[in-house]
Amino acid sequence: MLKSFKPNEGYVLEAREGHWRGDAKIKTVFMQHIPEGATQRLLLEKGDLDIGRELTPTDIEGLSSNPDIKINNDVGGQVYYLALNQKKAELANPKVQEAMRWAIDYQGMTDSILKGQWVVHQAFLPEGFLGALSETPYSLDVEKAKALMAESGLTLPIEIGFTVRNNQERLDIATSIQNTFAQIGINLVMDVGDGKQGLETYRGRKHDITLQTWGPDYPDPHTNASTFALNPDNSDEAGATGYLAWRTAWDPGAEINAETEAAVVEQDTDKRKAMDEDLQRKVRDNSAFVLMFQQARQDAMRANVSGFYAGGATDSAAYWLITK
Amino acid sequence: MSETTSPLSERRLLRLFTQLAVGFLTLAVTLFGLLLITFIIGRVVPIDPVLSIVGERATAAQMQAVRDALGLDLPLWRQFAIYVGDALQGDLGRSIRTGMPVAQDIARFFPATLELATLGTIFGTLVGVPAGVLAATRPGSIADQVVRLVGLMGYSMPVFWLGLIGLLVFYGKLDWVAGPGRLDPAYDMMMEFQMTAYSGMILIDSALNGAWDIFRNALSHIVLPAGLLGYVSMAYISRMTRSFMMTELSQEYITTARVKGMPEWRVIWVHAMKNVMVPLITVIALSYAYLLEGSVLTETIFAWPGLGSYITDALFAADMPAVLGGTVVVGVAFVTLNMASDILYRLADPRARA
Repeated sequence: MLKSFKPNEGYVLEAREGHWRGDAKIKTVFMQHIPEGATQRLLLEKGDLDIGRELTPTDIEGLSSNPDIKINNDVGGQVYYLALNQKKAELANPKVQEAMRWAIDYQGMTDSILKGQWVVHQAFLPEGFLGALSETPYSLDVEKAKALMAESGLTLPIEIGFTVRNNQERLDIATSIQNTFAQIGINLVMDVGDGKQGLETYRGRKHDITLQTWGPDYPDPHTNASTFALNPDNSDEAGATGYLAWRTAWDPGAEINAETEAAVVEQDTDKRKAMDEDLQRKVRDNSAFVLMFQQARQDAMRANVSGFYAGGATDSAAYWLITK
Repeated sequence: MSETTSPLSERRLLRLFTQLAVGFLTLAVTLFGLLLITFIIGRVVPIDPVLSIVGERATAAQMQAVRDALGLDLPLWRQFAIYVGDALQGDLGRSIRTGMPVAQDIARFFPATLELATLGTIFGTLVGVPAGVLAATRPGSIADQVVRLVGLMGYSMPVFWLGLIGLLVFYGKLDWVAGPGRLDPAYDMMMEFQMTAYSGMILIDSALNGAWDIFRNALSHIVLPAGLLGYVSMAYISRMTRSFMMTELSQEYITTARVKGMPEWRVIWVHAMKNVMVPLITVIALSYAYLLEGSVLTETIFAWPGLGSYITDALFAADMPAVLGGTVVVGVAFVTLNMASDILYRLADPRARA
C-alpha cells in the first residue's frame, strides 16, 4: 500500500497484512529519489541503501568487484528503432530499407556506448512479452548493404534528414548510424533538438528518418502490435498519431492490419503466439521501421538482499518477495 | 510634560516612507516585467505543452480538448492577463511532471533550499568576514596566504567534485555526518505523520515540536551540504572583506585613530568595520540570493529536494508551468533580497539616509 508520496523525493510502501498471496517479509519499503549515481553507489557501499536502481554503467563496473554487493541483470520494455517516412520516395524503396538494416553496427554499439544499458533486439515486442522474437538476423555488413543500395536504382549518394533528440546516448547512436550509412551512400543530415520538439515533427509526419524509443503501455503483445503493425487509415486527414505506422506514413496493408486485429482476440495461446511472431517478422523485414535494441537494466544490491524482481519488460517491479 | 516631535525627525520619516514607496513601486514593476518575460519564454519555446500533458497516444481531438481547456487558442494578451491574475492569487498552474499545483510543489521545495542557503550564508559570513579581516590586517603574512589559498580553492574547485569528496570522507570514511537526503527514512516518516509543520524547514519545525532527535538527525544531514555552500560563499565574502578592509585601513581617519592611541581591535572592528559593512551587505545579500536560486549540483549530489533540482528536472521534462513558476519565485526572492539589502544599506550608511 502506498503510505506516503513526495514527488522528487520518494515514496513509502507498507505491506498489507493478510494478502491472499501471503504476507510480505519486509513490512516497509522506503524509496528515495537519489539523482546522482555516485551518491547511490556510496550509500550502497556503506550499507545505508539495500538496492540501487539508477546506477550508471561506470558505477556498476566499480561495484562489481565488491563482495558485499551483487548485480542483478534484467531487461526493460523500451525498444529503439528508426522510423523511415514513407512520404519520401527514397525511404519507401524496399531495397533501401533492407540496406539500412544491414548498415547498422548493432553489436559494436551494445559493446561500447550502450554497454549494460541496451541489448541487440530486432523485433517490436520486447523480450518478456508473449511471442517476443529473440532472433537477430541483421548485423553490420557494409558490402551487402552497398549491393542492395546499388540494386535500389537510386543515384548515390542520397541526402536524408535525421531527427534526433538532444541527449548524449541518442547522439552517440545517431553518430554511429550516420557513419555506417555514409559508407553505403546515404548521407544523414542530423536535426538535433528537444525531445518534445522531435516528437512533434514525428507526429506531424515531417521527418525523413527519426531515432525513437517506444515502451509498452500494458502487458499484452497488442500494446506494441497495435502501433507498429496497425494503421487503418494512412491519409493525412486521419490524424491517427497514436499509431507509429501512421506517424511514419507506412501502410501495413490489409493483410497485416487484419492479422493484428485478429491476434488480439485469439484465445488460443499458441495460435496467438504464432500470429505475433509472424507479425514481428513481417514488420522487421519489410516495413518503415528498423528495430535495433531493447533496454537492459542493471540494479545493484547488498549481498544479503534476495527475492527482488526488477520488473522485466512490463516494468512491474515486485518488492513483496524481498528478504534480507 | 509634553512631548514634541522635531521637524527633522518628521522630514526623515517622510523621506523614509518615500524611499520605501519608491522601493515597492520598483518591486512591482520588476515583478511585472518578470511575469511578462517568463510568459513570453513559455510561449516561444518550441514545445507543445499539450503534447507534454496528453502523452504520445492521444488523438488530435483529445489534444484539441486540452488545448481548449488551457486556453491556448485565446489571444496572447488575454492569456497573459489570465496568467497574471492567477499568479497574483498564488496559482502558478499545475506541474505536468508531478501532477501537483506548482505553488504547492514550490511550498515544499523552497523551504529546503531556504534552510540550506541560510545556513550556508551564515557559515560563509561567520568565517568569511573574520578571515578577510585577518588577511587585510596582516597583508603578506602566512595567515593572509592561507586565507587567499583557501579562498582560491573555493573559487576554482568544482562544487560537484568537492561535494562528492566531502561525502566520501566525512560520511563514507569518517562517519561524522549522515548521508544524502534531509532525514533518515524513519525520522522522515515521523516528521510527516507525527509532527506539525510550521515552516517546511525541518530544523525549525523539529525544534518547535520539541523533537530533538529529529533535529539532531536533520542537523547531521544538513551540515555537509550547508558547509559546502558556506565554503563557496566564504571564499567570495573573505576576498571582498579583505579588499574593502585594506582600502579602509589606508584612510586618514584610521591613522588619526591610531595616533590618538585607540586600541587596534577598536580601530578595526568599530571604526573601519562600520565602513566596510556598507559594501559588504550587498556582497552578502548577493551571495545569499545566489544560493537561494538553488544550487543544482549540490542538491543533486546530496539528494536534497530543493528548488534548483526541481526547476532543472522540470526543464528536462519540458514541464513549462513548473519551470516558469520556479523562475517567478526565484525572481521574487532575488528582488526582495535586493530591496532588503538596500534598506540595510541605508541604515548602515548615514550618507544614504541624508
